[in-house]
Amino acid sequence: MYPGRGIEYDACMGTSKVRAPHEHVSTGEYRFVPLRNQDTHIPLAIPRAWRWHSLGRALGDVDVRGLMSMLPGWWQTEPLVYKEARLAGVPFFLTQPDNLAVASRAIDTALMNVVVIEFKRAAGFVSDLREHRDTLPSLWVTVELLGEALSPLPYPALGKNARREIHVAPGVPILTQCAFLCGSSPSLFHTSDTFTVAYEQDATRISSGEDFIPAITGFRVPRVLPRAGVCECGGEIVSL
Amino acid sequence: MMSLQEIRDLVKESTGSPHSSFYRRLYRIPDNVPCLDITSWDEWRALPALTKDDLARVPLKERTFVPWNALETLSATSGTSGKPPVFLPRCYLGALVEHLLAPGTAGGALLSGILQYQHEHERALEELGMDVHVVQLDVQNIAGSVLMAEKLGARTIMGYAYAVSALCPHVAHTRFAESVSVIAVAGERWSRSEFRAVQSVFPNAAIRYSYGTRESGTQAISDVLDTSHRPVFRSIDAVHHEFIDKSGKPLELSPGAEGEILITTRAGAPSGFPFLRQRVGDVVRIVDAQPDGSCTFELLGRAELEFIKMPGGMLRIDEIVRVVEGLGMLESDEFEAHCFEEDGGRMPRKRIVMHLALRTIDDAQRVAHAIARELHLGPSFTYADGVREGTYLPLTCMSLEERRAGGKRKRIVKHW
Repeated sequence: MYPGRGIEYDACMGTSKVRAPHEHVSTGEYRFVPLRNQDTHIPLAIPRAWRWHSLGRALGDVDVRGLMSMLPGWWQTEPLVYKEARLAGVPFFLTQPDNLAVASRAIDTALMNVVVIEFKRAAGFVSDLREHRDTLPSLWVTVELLGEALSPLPYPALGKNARREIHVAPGVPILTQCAFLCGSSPSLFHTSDTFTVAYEQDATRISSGEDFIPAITGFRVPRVLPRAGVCECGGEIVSL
Repeated sequence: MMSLQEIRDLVKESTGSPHSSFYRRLYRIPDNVPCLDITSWDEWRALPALTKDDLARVPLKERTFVPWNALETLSATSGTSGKPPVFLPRCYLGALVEHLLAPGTAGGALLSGILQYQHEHERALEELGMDVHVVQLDVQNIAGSVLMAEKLGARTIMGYAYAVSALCPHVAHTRFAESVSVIAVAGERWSRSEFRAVQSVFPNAAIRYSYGTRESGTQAISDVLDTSHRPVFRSIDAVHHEFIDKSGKPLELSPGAEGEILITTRAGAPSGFPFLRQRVGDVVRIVDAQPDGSCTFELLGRAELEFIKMPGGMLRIDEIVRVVEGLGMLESDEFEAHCFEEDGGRMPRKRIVMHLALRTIDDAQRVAHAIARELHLGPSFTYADGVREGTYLPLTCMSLEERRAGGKRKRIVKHW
């Protein structure tokens, strides 16, 4: 087990399995994010070079001036979001999820026009913004962890420039939205290229490609993700 | 400390920047003068101090000293002045981590409770050739952060004093707490009882202090604690510190002298914003002064206290004003909020005594209950909530006249 002796995880999530290869690996090649939202006894190793590509693509689709992250600190996603901001050539600002006063002021006075925020906090923030000002961010990227995505929370009214993402673990998206899907329906997604999706009668199983560490095999989502046609971007659409 | 030549170069660069005319305007440099060239310490000391108001008056882009696409991050001032935060452009500052790390940290992890960018810590460690994971300590999910740090073998904790204190109840009597060998504390110092409480939770940890600001990074480090566990700081090489008295004149550097600190630092290379004679509002006491102008100092606190950090949130003067004004049970809305700390349980508990213009002393208990119910220390956390969970002792009231006549009548007084 960790540290320095390789990584081995066998995380039981219902019938789902998340396994890392058992060979010895250099710790410096990986970073760690918590696998579950309320229980972090499983640090998930992701390659240090890992990129949050869907966020990078989203930034490329708007006139981004600054990127603000309001994701929980313990998700350990700051370096991933920062990396996408640098690649987009814009400054990055990190604030605590509940510090709405500083976050709103960053939008007003610090040119932060793209906000990455946890799904369940977005409604409160947008309502606070609407109450006090006219300016709203140009783009929202909301993040839900897979276990929470099936919750009955209504999707907050963030406007047409809101991209909903569902992540296996923070910073590891499985369901994303492109510029065409964003704002059209909060329940339509593309699946991430990192994963393959297999359908069963009452469930969907998600597996990672061979080069992804740790290997995720048959991660079970307890519902079918029906195919819902082809998007204008050319990608297949699934419905949650 | 910086030499006069280093200061001179910094002033030239800052006033001759092609990206920002912030300092040119602050120093009223005529258009036909390319930059300011100071040649003596007297000329340097004649420059006006930089204040938060100076920063707030100028839009962010106009005080950014690098092209926008080269700007890495923003930092927000901490709000300790009670004024709204001001955002400052920032490039990589470097992080002074090497002297704070515990032996054996390499190959393990660092639990960081500093609201600094995690990637900066990672970069600083990489530059040192150290294979260390940085785990962000999130005070809103301490258990989650600690579990991650524990799994990754953290031996060092780096954090603001309040964040480390918040950690204590969650890790007391655990193997993790016993395994921690260094706690590097930044920001406000602990009271003596808080210090003792932290030591009891982390019995094997050496405690090292640093002093700095969010916007400009580490300014000074402490090698020794004085006899009452107050850190004594020495400035790091990359910065220049001056001290002024209440009238704004240079403080005579002798042991025991007290004054405000002025900070000068390039803050990164390239620098998103260089700080020249920044008046941050911290009051210090000189401990030891050398003939070359260097000194050691201890931090006394804020020049003007507008809030106090408490477990669970922050006691803010504007929030007290809101509650007191809304009570409708007092002769006037003047008050003094006296904050105490008392030993008890794992961690010392805070207690507030409100001095108010009560109509009759018989109202004291009713008013105290009303304030405790209404006074928010966080978005959804009241003083009464803190009492219920055992973090605070019950709030009490007494008549303002009994306490003090004259002087500022809406204020917070800290007694630890």
